Amino acid sequence: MTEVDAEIIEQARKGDPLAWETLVVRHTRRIYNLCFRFVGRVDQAEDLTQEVFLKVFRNLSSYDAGSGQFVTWMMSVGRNLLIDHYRQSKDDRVTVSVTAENDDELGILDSLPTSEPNAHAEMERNERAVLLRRALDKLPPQLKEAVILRDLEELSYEEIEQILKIPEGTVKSRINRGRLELAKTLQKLRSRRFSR
Amino acid sequence: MECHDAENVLGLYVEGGLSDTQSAKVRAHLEGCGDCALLLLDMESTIVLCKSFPEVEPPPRLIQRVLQETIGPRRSLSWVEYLQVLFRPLYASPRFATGACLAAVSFSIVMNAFGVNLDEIRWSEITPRTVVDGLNRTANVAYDTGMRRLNGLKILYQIQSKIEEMGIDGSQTERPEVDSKTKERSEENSATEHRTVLRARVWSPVKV
Repeated sequence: MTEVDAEIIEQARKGDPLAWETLVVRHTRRIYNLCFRFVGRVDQAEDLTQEVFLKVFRNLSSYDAGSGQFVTWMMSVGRNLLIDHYRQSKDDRVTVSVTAENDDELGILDSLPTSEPNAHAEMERNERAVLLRRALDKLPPQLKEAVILRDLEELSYEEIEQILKIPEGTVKSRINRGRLELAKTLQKLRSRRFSR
Repeated sequence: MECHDAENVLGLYVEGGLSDTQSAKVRAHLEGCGDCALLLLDMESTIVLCKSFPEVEPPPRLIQRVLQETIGPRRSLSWVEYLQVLFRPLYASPRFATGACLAAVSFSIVMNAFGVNLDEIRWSEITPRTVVDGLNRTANVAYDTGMRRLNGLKILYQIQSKIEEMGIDGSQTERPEVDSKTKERSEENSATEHRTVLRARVWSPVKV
C-alpha cells in the first residue's frame, strides 16, 4: 500500500467524506468487476458492489494495514458477500440457467465493452465471454472463486490466501481443480454448441 | 504417474508452479498419454480465455449510489473542494510536497534575480492593474537602459575612429618635415597635447 492510500484511509476513518469519496472512486471498478465475474449479471453486480462498499464503510475501523493491502481486504469483504449471495440465490440461479436460452437474458452482452473495431472479431469475443460465463456458473462456488481470483483477477497466491483465509496448499488445490473442471466444462459446452 | 495423479497437478504445471522433480514426472507422463496432453492444451486455452475476459465498465450512477448509501446526500462541492478531491492523491504525497517546495524556492530566486522583492509584495496590492503597470514600467526601464548603453557604445566607437584618423594624418605630415628642429618640436608638442586632450575626453565617463 502506498503512503497516499494510507493517508486517505486514515482520513476516511476520521470521517472525512472527501477521503471516502476518493476511495470509492478509486476502487469501484475493481469491486464491480469482481462482483460481475462472480454473478454474471449487471444489475446484481451493481447491487453487490453497493453492499460491499456499505460493509467496508461500516467496518473501516477494523481494517489493519499490517494484514495486507486495502484492496485485498475489500475483496475479502466482497467475497464473503458473494458467497452469501450465492447461497441465497441458489434457487433463482438454477431457474435462470434453465430458462435463459438467450444470452442477452443474463445481461452479459450489454455489459461488455465494444472496443473491437471489427464486428466479426467483436462477435467472436462476445461469444467466448458468454461461453466462459456459462462454464464458470457451472463450477462449485469454492472452485469458481479460486479460478476467478487467480485467472481473471490475476491475484497472487498470497493475496488469494488472505481473501479466502485458507492455507496455500488448499488454494493451489482449489485452483488446480477449478481449472480442470472449467476446461472440461468448456469442452462440453463447445461440443454441444457445434452439434446444434 | 497415473492419469489421476497428473490431473491433480496439471493446473499448477501449466504455470510452472511445480518443483523440478514433479514437473519432470508430469512431462514424462504427458509424452506417453494423449488424453492428458489434450487436457493440458484445453487447460492452457482456458487460462488464456480467462485472462482475456474483458473488464466491464461500472455504470456512472453506481458511485453516486454508493456515496448516497454511505455518507448520505451529497452537497455540491465548491471549486476549492473539487480541486482538493481532484488532486488529493497528489498533494497528500511527500514527493509532491518536496516538488512544491523546490518550485517555490526556484520561483523566489528567479524573482529576486529580476529585482522583485517578494517580502515587499502584499496580496492586497496584486490586482490586474498593478501587475500590468509594473510590467509596463519594468519594460520601459529595461528599454531605456539598453538604448543608453547602445548610444554610449556608438559615441565611443566614433571617437576611437576619429583618433585613429588623426593619428594617421599626424604620421603623414611628420615625414616630409625633418629638416627644421624647432618646427618639428613645436608640432610634436601640439600633436601630443591634442592627443592627450582627446584621450582624456575618450576615457572620461560618457555623458549622454
